[in-house]
Amino acid sequence: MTRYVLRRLGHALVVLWGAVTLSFLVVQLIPGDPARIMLGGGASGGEGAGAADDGQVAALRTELGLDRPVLAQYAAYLVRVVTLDWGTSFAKRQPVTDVIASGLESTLQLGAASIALTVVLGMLFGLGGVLLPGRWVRSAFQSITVLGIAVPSFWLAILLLQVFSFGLGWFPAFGAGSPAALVLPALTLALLSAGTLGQLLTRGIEDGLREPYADTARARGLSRAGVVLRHVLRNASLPVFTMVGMLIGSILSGATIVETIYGRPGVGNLFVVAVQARDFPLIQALVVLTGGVFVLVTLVVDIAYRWIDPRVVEPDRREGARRPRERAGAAA
Amino acid sequence: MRTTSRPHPIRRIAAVAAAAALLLTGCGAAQGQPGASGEPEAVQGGTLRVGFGGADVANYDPHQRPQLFPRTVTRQIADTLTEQDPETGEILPWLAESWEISDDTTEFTFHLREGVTFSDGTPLDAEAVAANFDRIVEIGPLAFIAGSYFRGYVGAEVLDERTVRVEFDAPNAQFLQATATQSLAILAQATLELDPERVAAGEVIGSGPFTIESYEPEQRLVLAAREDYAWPSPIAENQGRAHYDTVEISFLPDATTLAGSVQSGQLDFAYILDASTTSTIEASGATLLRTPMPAISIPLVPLLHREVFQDEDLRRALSLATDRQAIVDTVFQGAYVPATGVLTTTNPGYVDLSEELQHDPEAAAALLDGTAWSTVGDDGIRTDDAGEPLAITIQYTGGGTTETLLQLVQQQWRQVGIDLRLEPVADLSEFTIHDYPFDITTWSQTRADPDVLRIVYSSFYENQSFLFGHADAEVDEALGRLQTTVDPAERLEASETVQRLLLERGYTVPLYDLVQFSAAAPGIQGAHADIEGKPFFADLHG
Amino acid sequence: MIARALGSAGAALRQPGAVAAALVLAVLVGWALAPTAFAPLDPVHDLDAAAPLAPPSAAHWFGTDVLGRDVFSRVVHGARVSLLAGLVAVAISLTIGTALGIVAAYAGRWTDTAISRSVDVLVAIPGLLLSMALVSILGFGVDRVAIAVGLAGIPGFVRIARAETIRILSLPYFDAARTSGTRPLRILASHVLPNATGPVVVLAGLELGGAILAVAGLSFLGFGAVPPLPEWGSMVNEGRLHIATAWWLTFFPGAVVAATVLALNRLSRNARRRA
Repeated sequence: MTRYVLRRLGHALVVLWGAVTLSFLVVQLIPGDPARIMLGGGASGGEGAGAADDGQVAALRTELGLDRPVLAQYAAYLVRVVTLDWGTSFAKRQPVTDVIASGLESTLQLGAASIALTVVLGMLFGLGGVLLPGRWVRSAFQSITVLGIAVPSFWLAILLLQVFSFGLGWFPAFGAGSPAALVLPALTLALLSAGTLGQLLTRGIEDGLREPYADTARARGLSRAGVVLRHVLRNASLPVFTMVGMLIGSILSGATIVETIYGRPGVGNLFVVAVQARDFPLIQALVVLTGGVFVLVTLVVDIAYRWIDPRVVEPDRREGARRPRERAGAAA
Repeated sequence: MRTTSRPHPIRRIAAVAAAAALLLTGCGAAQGQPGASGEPEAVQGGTLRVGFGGADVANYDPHQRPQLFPRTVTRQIADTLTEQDPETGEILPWLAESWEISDDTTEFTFHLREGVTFSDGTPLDAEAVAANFDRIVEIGPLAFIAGSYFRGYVGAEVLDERTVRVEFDAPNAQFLQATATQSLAILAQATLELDPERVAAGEVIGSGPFTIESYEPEQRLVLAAREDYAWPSPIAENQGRAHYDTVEISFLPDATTLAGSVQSGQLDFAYILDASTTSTIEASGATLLRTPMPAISIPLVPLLHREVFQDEDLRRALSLATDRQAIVDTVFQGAYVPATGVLTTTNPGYVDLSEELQHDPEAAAALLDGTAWSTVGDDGIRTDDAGEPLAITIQYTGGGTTETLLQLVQQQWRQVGIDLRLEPVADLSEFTIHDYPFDITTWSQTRADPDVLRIVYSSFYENQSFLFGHADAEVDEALGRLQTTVDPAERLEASETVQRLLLERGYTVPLYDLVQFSAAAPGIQGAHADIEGKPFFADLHG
Repeated sequence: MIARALGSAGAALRQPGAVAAALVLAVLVGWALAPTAFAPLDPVHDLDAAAPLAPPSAAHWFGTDVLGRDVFSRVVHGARVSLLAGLVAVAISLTIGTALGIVAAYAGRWTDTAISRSVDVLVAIPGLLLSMALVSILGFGVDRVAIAVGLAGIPGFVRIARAETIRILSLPYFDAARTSGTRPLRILASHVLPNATGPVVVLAGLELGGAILAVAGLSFLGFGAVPPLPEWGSMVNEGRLHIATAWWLTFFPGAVVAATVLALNRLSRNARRRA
């Protein structure tokens, strides 16, 4: 176990370092002079802000170290990353760390609420796909739940907002303060991923029902629902853990659009603002942050999963799409 | 009946599946307004929830920032020497009880009202007024708009505790109206001494009915009522302290959210609504405030440093090819007004020049036939002898209505063979006007005085005036005449001369007059606005 | 031959979902290839000034927009923009991703480690965010958005191509080919590529749906299509201001995106089950 954890930790650090390098390359790859682009794009606040003169550009190049060799820049960048010194955001004219810190709480709330809601909805979808009476009903139910994969998040967010906030007035349309304001954005994000979760769960339960222990339970007189809830569900839920990485990705992606539509001042909205303003210091930091969150969460989940179910194959050896149910089915 | 908001909406989550309810949004008839009659209670307490429809400009130094949101906040926290009658444009006494102006319009003497204090307790006296004016000139380019009112400033002399004389080295007739603008709001000495950056960040002390209680950039700005306020504007209804205890302002860049939230009751007041959302707002029972802005008519301005616009006939053809009525009817669903001059109808310098702004595509085509772009290609776009198409590029930001408008103009100009190319960008500030690498741009500038022409269309101000570097002696001469008299008739005559020249020479293509909309939610009373459409939060009550 | 066709027709009847998906896709491809055959009006130049914001009717199936343009015609013409952008994106992901995956599996050792770890890095940054970061470098416009989405989609193809290649390389007939002295490139061309195609094509179908969604999302945020070009995502954005009075501006373009992606997913999953 210790060896596994160390291995896994090493892998996480490598990926994190890769994300940092990637964010460094982002600025290196900008066609043209990054300093000039930054000065141009960042002057929105100044009265009569003119085109950046050569002196300003040169000064910024020196400040950013763009006049030094690439490797020296890279080394300096790594040092800045480690010391959390991301420079100044051009769109917000504040230190990048402050800008991100200001958006973190809102996004964490949204993330937690949507994960909770995704799990609840996913469970309902998954159980419904197995327990609803009649094959046609189940099949129709499953088809509806997978709609979430195909529906554009921006469209769903707008429709929910229109119906439940502007139309019926049940939930506030903006504001990051109250729990009520969290409902619609979290629901939007949850509906996008709960279908996938439900599908995974349905398949897991169906597989579980074919296992001998399910037959045994049934022979003891338990109903189908009883077997599912008492015996099969627990095992079928385990592989859901492996979906957490995907879930985090889908929430962070969705947050860009959802936070923009619901006027929430979170990290996702910051990403949109940063790209609009070509605010590269902020983009760099956000790329590393999202990569870091993903790495951390998958690390924790993988280790926890291994701890729960020691037969899990090491992640480095798992290729292609993850198919955890093949491993977890027999864990009775 | 509208469904009212519920305190614990989570219970109702089960109904979410009813996505078809999308179609329910029309919402029935407007509710009656309870408590619509009767006098408001002097102090009702509580919080007024206000939404500003746009991003936070994040600069609350009134002397520095000329944009509407900060001006509106300034109106609540600071006062000005004079006020402007929203109906007539007449200048009314406020902090200044009376004034005298020398015949050559170089000296302005103001007599101040007694007993006015700033919220830090210091008195608002002649000394304070002089210090404010000095500061505006001192911070120079930071106070671009306010500074332009002080051209030729010699100084402000304190004659006694309540009398101050402002002197200029040249005629400056516009200065009287300037004292009614929030750009010349009078702030406390303590504020003037601060670094301008800190003032911008919201450390502003004024003598208004509210003070800034807290401010989180881009999130919310909270104002608190001042208990001892007793010197309101002559056009304010509430002559004492504000009815509410606090005003919480949220910034909502999304026009749909702003409109929807005043409908659903999440907001008590929405400031600057998108024109397209007004019909829904009215249907929901909210009170709509409609202010035709005293400004320049929103134009498309051909940029004179661009090769393509060296041709005056092309510039004039643009105006003839434009169907202003169609723009107003479709893009703004009739909420705005077609331009009938370079200035809007509510500007004191307005002259009806609608005969100069007719839609006449044939005349436009005839003009263009005489230019280098005389051949019309197969795609309907004109080309010159070298086969280069007649293309005009515009960069714009923000999408939304601007984008719809430009798409319509694109179609209209296409009828006479002009290809208007759209280039959306996130940020326009990369270049100055005078080396802007695009051909045409739009502009908006509000001021209830014909002097607004001087800032926008003179050759006087770098990066602010479109004729800068392309001076037209006749235009500048007529603009100069605006400064030499405070007589409305004479100023109107000068204003007309300028406007006719601007149109005849194709320096601008006015499109429409901006109308500003705000709304008070059902049940909120006392909504009204000043000449620029800025609401009085102290007058609002439930 | 006939029996086979009949057989698949029978199978189709047992799968009404798949048939519907195929129909949806056929219509979309028709729209994209010959929009003028389906759309009654020009999506850009036909302004019906008399009827702006008209609700859906027999004359305008999806209503009209603010400028009086026929929304149905715009949606039909939008199919070309969206499908093309999606195809460009998937073509980029597929060629680069598959090539890297095969190289990683075939070369092994350091090359494999470098490629696989790079893929891990790309996977760690959610796709839409990665596309947005790339858009900030490449600039705005629907073509650039398509490229950005394509680049962000590479990792999935690398992984699947690598896994398939490894699987094929471990098969007995591959050993036979190698011992008989066939050159590596020939082995790639004659054995690996044809055998790896199935799973890659399935993934391409799924990714096409994802790419169309991503392009629409980025256009919605204003990074993509420039008006008056009809693009589904930017149409939803344009319609948003009017949602209270004219729901059809937002509803139809969004619903068509959803139908497109759903159809693509359904057919890809069917293909996977058969494979």
